Amino acid sequence: MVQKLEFSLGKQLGNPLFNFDDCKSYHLNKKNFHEIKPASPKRKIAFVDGGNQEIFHAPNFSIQVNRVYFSMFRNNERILPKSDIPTKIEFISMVSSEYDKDKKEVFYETSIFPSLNDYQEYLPLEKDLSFSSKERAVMLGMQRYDIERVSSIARRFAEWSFSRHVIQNEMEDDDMIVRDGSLQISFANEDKYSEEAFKAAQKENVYFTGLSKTSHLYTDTGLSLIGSIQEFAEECGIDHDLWCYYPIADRWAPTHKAVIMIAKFNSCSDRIFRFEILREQFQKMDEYAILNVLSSIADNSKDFCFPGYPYGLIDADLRARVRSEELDIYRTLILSEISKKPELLNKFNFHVRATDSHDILNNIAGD
Amino acid sequence: MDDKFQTIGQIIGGGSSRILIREKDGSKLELGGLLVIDDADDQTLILQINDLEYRSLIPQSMHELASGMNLEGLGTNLEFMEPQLRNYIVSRSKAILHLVDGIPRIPKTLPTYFNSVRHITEKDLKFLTKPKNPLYLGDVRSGSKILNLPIYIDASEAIPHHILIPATTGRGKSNLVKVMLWSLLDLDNFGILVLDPHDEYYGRNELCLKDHPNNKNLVYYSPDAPAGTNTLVINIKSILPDHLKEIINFSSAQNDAIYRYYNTFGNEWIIKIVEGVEIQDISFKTLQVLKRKFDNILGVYFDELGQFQSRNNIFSDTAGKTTIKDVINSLEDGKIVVIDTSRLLGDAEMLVGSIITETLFNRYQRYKLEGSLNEKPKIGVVIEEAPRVLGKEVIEAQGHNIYSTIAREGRKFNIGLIAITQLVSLIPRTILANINTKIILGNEMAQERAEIIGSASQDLSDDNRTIASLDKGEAIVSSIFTKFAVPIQIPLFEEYCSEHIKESEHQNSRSKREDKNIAFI
Repeated sequence: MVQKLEFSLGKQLGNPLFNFDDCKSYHLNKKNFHEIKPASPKRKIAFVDGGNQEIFHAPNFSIQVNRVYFSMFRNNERILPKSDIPTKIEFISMVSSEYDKDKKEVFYETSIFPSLNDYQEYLPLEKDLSFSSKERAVMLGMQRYDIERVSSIARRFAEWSFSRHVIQNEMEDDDMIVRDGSLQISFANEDKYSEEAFKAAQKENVYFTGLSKTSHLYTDTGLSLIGSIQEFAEECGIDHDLWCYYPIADRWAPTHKAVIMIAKFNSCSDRIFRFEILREQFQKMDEYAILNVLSSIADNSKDFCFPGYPYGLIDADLRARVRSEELDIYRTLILSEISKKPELLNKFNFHVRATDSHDILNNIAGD
Repeated sequence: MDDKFQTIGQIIGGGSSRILIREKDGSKLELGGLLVIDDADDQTLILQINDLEYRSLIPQSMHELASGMNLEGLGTNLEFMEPQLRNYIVSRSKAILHLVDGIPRIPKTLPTYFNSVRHITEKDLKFLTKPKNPLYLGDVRSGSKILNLPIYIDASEAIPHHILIPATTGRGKSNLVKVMLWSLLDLDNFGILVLDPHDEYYGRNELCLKDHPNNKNLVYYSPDAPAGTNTLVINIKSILPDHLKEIINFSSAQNDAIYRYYNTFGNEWIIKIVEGVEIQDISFKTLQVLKRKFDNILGVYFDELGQFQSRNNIFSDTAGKTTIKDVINSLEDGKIVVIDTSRLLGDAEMLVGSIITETLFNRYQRYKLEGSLNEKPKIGVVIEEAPRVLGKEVIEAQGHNIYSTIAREGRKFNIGLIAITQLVSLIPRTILANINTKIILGNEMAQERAEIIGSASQDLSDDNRTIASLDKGEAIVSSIFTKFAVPIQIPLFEEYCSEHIKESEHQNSRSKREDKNIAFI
């Protein structure tokens, strides 16, 4: 195995691989390393993240609790919202599958129940969350995706929608918003929400960015792009404390309106991350402006707990995360309501039992 | 908002025995600190902090790594972001009082979860009023902050129910006794007997009780009496065998001999023993041992000229016939009688105290029988190193003495003890249970703290750390006469009495001015 691994990782680094017709990738080149110099940008940075967990699951429905959160920092000091926008919104989403006999297709329909009525304005419309199971984006190869994945779409859309409101209510010229994850969209109707957020950012002159904890990009030799660039930096003797690498690729796809970079945000960190800036904004920025934006992130990436990763995103992850302990509360609440209708409870249990045997085994095993 | 009413913490969990409060960054909560929760419907809960601990949302291993990096000069560009949010202090507090419409009650409910907490103010404790016979102990203390709120106990209740002052050396026992005696000098109806082995209470050469504006209530006895005070001379004939038996451990042969001498010579029995007068059936050896014992303990002997002598000049065969009676009369007149026993050895000091106390006790028993007890002043007896007379071993070896009798029965006759000790553990539980006010000063000995806590009038089971951390002059008053175990700061005696003297002079001059004005009109 070790030999196999040695062979596998010993390959040439190769070049960034993007298998899209509308994409041009650039060969790895030492010149693409740029030093991020410490600056003292005074801009406000908003960090947005979301989380969801399934409360009940059956093959034909999924009930989830969703949470989206944002926080803002300036000079690494937390800033409270000046408007009445909540820092956190929560809602329950229920995805159910319906079979259309005429079309011979399974349809997913989503209903949304905000925990407070005031949250409604920040949430996506239910009609935008109905999909055919044959929708390419919700299919895994030729197979339908599990209903649980479909349910996470509501949270994803809510993140875009909430980001827009954050920009419109809280952000000013030269500020910046950082989403957890890529700026790429994957689902039908998602563009409607991402576009609104992008437009709001451009209107307010707020940099719209995304930072991915994980990356599945490859080089054309099959290595991970992140690993290859880190290795390439060593090979090239890059001795900057902080750096970023770009360009990697140009893509004009409507599903991914961002420029990808790889960046190292802290000298004590042994990790580099995929970072994206909205392409239309990037194109208007000179190198100084680009590095200045990256410097803002670097300045927020000094926390001992996770050097090199923005503290704002650590915070957003913690606050947006739906913990397992919370699920029991939601389960009890929902079951107590359902149990008021014994017939419904009976039917509900029939369907839930179709997929919950694994949970019972986990309980027996003490997991 | 007034600083005093600012939120300094928030309830984050716990239960009835301990409520967990997260400290607001920078609030500096202190052990023993008093906190207030304003609950709904005019209900207020008073809490006391028993313990403080660090908590963090960051894993411990991360802290240790960060510390290592800091210490080794690495990771200079790393920090804990928002440390005030992620690293904090949690106090374990106990609800000590529930105020419903200002009336104190024992807490039986928990305050609202997540409620905010503030510092205590004088206003919150307005139910602590000045009693009719105020015996001042100090000012209410919250942690190390002193509130402008004096704490008094009613002397007429507290003294007959006995007071215990447990503390190790240097924690301010003597200072507290001075403050208490100073306060008692203002009251006219309390006779206090003070056996003063260090001659520190009268104030021979420094500011002390003699300087009290009401010093007519003070009587001082000393073998080396300053002008205007009384020379301490006790007639040897006033000592009875029972007095000695309570203090000194005699063998049965010696015991027999003592009573034989007493029956033979009456009140001259000690003189005859010391003189070496032999009587039938008492061996020469026993007589010699007794003679030596009296010399060692009382310092009495016959010189080469055949004259009775007292090494400390306190015991006499001719003078001092009325001393005991005079002392008792002064006590009955509601005076504080300080007896300088610094020249006496421990046993002799106890003997002097025993003679006075026993005579007094008998007299008060008689008053009770006659139905005149309530007309008499209440009596307190201050004894230092109380285990000398109240210790388990002493009582087991010599049986109950007048002090242990007072501890058990004195309340019925309006006589109480003010016992001072470093070692509470030596005093039997049965006696400790009868002492209903304990003014607990700092004590670093765990066993002693356990005894104090076990015998306190309030549940102090969570106050172990607090008692250990009491600084000089800091105390906790646990009494059946206080609504809760009150943390106090005892003032420095010199400052306290100077202020009192100044106030008194100021009042005098004002009343004189007023008199003049009246004359003018």
